[in-house]
Amino acid sequence: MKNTLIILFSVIFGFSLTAKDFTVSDFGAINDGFTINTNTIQKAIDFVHEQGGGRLIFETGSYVTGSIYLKSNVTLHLEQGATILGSTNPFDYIKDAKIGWMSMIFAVNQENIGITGKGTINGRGFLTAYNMVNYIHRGIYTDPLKYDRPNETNRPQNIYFRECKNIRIVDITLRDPGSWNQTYDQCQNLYVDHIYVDSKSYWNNDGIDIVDCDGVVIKNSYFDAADDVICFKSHSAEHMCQNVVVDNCVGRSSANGLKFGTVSRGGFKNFKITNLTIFDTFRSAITLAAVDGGEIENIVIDGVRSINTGNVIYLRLGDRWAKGKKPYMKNVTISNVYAEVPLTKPDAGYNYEGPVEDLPRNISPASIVGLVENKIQGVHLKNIQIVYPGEGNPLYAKRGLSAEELDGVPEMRDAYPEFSQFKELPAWAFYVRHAEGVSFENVTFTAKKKDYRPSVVLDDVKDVSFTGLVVHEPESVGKQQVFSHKTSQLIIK
Amino acid sequence: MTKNLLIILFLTLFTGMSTYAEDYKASLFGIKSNGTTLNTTSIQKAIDYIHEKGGGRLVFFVGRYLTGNIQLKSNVTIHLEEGAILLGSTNIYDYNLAERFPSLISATKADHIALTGKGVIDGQGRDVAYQVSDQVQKGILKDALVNDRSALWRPKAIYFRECTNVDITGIVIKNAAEWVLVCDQCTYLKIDRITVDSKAFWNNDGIDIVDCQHVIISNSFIDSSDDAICFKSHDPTKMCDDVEVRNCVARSSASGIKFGTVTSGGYKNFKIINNKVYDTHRSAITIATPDGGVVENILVDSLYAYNVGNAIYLRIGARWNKGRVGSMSNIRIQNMYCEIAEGKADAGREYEGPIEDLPRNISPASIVGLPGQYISDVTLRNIHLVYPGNSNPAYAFRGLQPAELDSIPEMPAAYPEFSQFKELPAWGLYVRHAKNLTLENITFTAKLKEYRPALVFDDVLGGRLTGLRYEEPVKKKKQVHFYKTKDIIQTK
Repeated sequence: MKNTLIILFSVIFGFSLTAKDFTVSDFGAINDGFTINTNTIQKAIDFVHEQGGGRLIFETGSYVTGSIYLKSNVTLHLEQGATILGSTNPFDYIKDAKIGWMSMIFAVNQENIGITGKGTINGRGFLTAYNMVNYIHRGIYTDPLKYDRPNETNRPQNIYFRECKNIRIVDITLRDPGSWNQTYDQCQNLYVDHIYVDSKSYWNNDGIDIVDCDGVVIKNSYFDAADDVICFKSHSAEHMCQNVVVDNCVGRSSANGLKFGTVSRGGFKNFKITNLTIFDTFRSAITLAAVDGGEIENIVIDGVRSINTGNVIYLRLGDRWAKGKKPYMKNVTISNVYAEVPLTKPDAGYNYEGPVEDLPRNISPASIVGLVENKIQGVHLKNIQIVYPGEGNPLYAKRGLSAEELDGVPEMRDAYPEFSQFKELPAWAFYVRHAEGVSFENVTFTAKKKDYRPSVVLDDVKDVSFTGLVVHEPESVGKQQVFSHKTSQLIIK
Repeated sequence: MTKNLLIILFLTLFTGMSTYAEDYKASLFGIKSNGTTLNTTSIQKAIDYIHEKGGGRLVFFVGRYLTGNIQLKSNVTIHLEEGAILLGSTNIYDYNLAERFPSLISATKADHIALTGKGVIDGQGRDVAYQVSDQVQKGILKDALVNDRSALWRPKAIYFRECTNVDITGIVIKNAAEWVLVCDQCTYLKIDRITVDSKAFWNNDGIDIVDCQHVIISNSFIDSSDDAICFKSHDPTKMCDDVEVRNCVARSSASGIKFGTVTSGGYKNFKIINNKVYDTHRSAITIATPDGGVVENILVDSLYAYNVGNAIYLRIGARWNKGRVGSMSNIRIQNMYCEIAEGKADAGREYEGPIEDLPRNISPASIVGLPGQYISDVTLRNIHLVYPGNSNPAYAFRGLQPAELDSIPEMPAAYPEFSQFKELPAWGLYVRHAKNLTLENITFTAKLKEYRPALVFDDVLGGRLTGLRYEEPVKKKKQVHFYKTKDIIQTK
């Protein structure tokens, strides 16, 4: 009986420790959508932190703020109808000295932090960015201003957490950042669940950026982004993204859906990505790129629905900023994919459409492209169905199958890795170059109309197998659909 | 010949232009004049920008500009055109609370800074103070909250520290939550033609000059709930030196012109000329050194004071002096006219001075040192002090017997205030522990009959009394009483 009481008390005590709530209005925050509450919210965070932690509750209303720093054991909880609005004054934001970017909500070296609730974080980034452009034109702020866009580090993100542990981002809506939307950089144990991201208010509006993090779960979330949607990066050669689960997410992008890179110094290991839907996306549904010396290993992607995307799969090794470090990519499995590639621009009409570029070319195939001396190793493609428009027109752009023409596809070792970078490729469904150990199992490629190219071209590939390859193309009886060049150990069953 | 002239002309033009301060409009930096947009970061950006460009004026045109703490930098002038109001945020967290003295406008170690123009700096201090109390009561800010007033946190309007070449001209400064205008350890400070309206909350001093050198305060009007023109010395290694106050008008619910209370280092070489003090709860002029400071060579000339609680209070104390011995010497007060109020001089003002130290009849001007620590070489010349008289011995009484005079408390550690001793035995001037005192051509007027003599000297060593006149509605009365006093030369 006595023991039970002790347990009961400790449970109650434990509960009070974990669930202490503070209301931001008690600190004088005003939810009129106008008053700038930066210092009040910061005071509230500091106070909750000093009290041992708890939730800082934002009740219904709009709270304007500039840069604030989240501290250990504090969760910002946005109730339904509560919005944290970013100030539209760029001078209200801090460019953190360690991070080198501007953000609304920072956390550096903190643990047990979170942002939860059904409320919204709205950066109002287009206004802030426009105001910044204005100040740059007046000479008040110094910026290179490329294409009349301030450098992405001089526009605020919504969230930037660096070197934090045990982070929960749950239920919230994230809108309209001035730059990337949310970045988690060298963090451990990041849990993202049920978030809604509308990120197409300005250039470089990524959906979510995971940089060199260990232990990440992203699930049940929706992303609509002007730039890459679910984006894993590696800024540090000493760190990498690893032990990552992405499940049941939907994305739309004017760049790539799931992306590894572009900055990829350390690498990406042990990923399990399941049940991913990508639609109306300008570039690839899946881009895995290691162009800066990064290592990509043990990647499982299972269950992808890619509708109206410019490209489906693009795996690439490059040699851009590696400084001698050798990149590699091995043991990548992609299975259960259904994809439709359109003839037209998939993101036409969206805010901040991707740029029309790299013409002339006919519709690009999915591609696996390594380096001459550094091949992509072990790619397993299983249960894949891709529907292409076909209609490849040799009078518009042509890449033939002669040795000279295939060798003439540029290597572009140090270029920005993009599925369209080589312009015209000689296949309409899949192009593989500089790879070894590639298997296609139960793969169906459909061209809706006749294409002048074969479906698959293999160039400098060792140990490649096709099991159950089906190709549908009108008016193509007797056409050789798999063409190989400098390729060994090719098995077609 | 012409060639040389041309070169000189060009050089003059060129150098003249480059040193001439450039103007920057506030709107260039997106600073909003709507009174509701918090402009803190934009104004700070503007100051930083102008500072980095080598200096100039940040010009505010008509409008209301809301801001939290901003930090002024070298070679930057904030110029407020007529109708421009710099409004302090009513949110306490918009101030620099990490600093020892939070403020709306701060500057540290800046050179050539200025606040100019005919505009207004309005701290909105009462709202800020109320918000501080709210946050303290909720337990969010820590504060002792004595009498429901916070001791910490309340921001000043202006706090300049260790700055040089400071120019404050023309502006109106009002409604801070605490002291209004503070210059601390600054040198070459010029304050001219400003208006200080400082009665929004408790402790609203007017102008506080702390340990500054080479100061001119002129042609200004100060209305404050606490001391109006106030000199302080917080640092025992520093002092206020070479200070001139000229053509100022002051009103206070404490003292009009005050030296102290905190007096660690001291004050020397002051000229306080042609000033006016009215409707003031305590003394027209208080010079106090309770904390070990040195006071010397102070000239007060042409001070006109009416409806004030007290005329003159000079005091040595021993409060926070930590072994150092305070001193006061060579004080000259001349050409002064003062009418002492019968009732409460600041009655009806917001944040009236406290009713205290009763029972006592109207207090005399007082010069009070400590035993063995004499106030020396004080000269009072050409002075007319007008008192209401009408003291009532049945209400409060201090007789002239040795036992009665000796029983006046010394109060070395007390807060120095003219009323601190309660009933004093004189109605015109009370002097204790002084030496080498000169009184010359002084008229003491009591409008009604007094039970006390005009003058009481206690432990005064050496003095010269010339041309003293006493006007009181009595036929014949001994108006001077000496006790433990010697070497006094009296002439007609």
